[in-house]
Amino acid sequence: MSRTRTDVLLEGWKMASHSAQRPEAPPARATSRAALPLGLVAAAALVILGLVVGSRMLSSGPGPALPAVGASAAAATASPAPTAAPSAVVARPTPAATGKPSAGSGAPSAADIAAAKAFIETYTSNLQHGKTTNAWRMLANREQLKYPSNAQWAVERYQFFQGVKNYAVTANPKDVQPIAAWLTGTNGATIDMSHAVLVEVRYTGVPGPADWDLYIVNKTADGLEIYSVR
Amino acid sequence: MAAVDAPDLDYQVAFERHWDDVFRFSLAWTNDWAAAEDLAQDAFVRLWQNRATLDWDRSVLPWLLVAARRLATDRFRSLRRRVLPRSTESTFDEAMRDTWLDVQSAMSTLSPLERTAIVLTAVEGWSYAEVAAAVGTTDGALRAAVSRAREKLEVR
Repeated sequence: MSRTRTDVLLEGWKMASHSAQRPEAPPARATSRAALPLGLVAAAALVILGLVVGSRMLSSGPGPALPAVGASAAAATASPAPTAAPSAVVARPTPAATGKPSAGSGAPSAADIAAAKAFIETYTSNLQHGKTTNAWRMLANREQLKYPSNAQWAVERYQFFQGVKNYAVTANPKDVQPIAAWLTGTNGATIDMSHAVLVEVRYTGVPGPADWDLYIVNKTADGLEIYSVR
Repeated sequence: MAAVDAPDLDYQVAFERHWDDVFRFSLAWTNDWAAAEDLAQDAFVRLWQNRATLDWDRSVLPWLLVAARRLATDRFRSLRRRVLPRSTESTFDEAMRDTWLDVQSAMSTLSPLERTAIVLTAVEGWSYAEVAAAVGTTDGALRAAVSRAREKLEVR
């Protein structure tokens, strides 16, 4: 049986793509090591030294300050602990560091959650009924920029919803990663974590793992906005 | 010996287990070797940044593929304005240059969806459902994309 042109091309693709060599080290690990030059370590050690000296001075009172300084300086320079502490801090960003700082503090209120869920219900209803312009306006500006054009997005969504029979909207779904893990899908937008809510839409009638969407509903001064973060 | 936390080990394992898949997915999506290397790199950087919040009992490959696809969308918007510096050493095998250039030229006639659909299902052996989830489309749309891709490659 003769091979088609497609078969030949795909075989070539396989040969070329499988010849790629995986880099020796994972990128961020190598980066985080490189991002810790000696100067930074030394600066961190100096800060800790200063803190130790300061605390000793405060605790020892105004009298015997000089001996206390000498003792703490010797301890700080002799111990490896100061260099270990700053490296742990730099190499381990907390989840909050991956998103923009929130405007307030605390978790979204019940009202926030209800509003976010209702917003996604409206958005999804718009899509299901072909009101793509209305749905488009509910997306955040940064979300809109992900797509080549409004028309292309609308065509894709319209075709997708042709297969949707029904759907269910769930705020704060339990079987997906928490909201902090999905912030990359917002392209660095400022997300108000004290009001933002993760909302999932599960579709029936759509085959396979494509039967769900995941959104972050963010609260801004102008109202709610949607990021598709799946 | 310094202690290594579980997320660090999970990250290392994920890198060794999934880098090939993320790179090949990115290559199929972009048809650009250097861009695919950068996308794979960036996707793992995102994984590293999020490692403390991820559920490592579940496969992180879907998360990585979605991250790579989203980064690709952003990347090509950026590429219209500027040329990105390379962030990794090349993984390219010079012995494959002619083969790659021929294949790349033929594959450039396909859309990212069509190229990814046919490469991942026909070459990498992924299921339609897996690829559909990675590119954010339906199983049916993916099958249609594979058919279109075959037609385009045959008539070229």
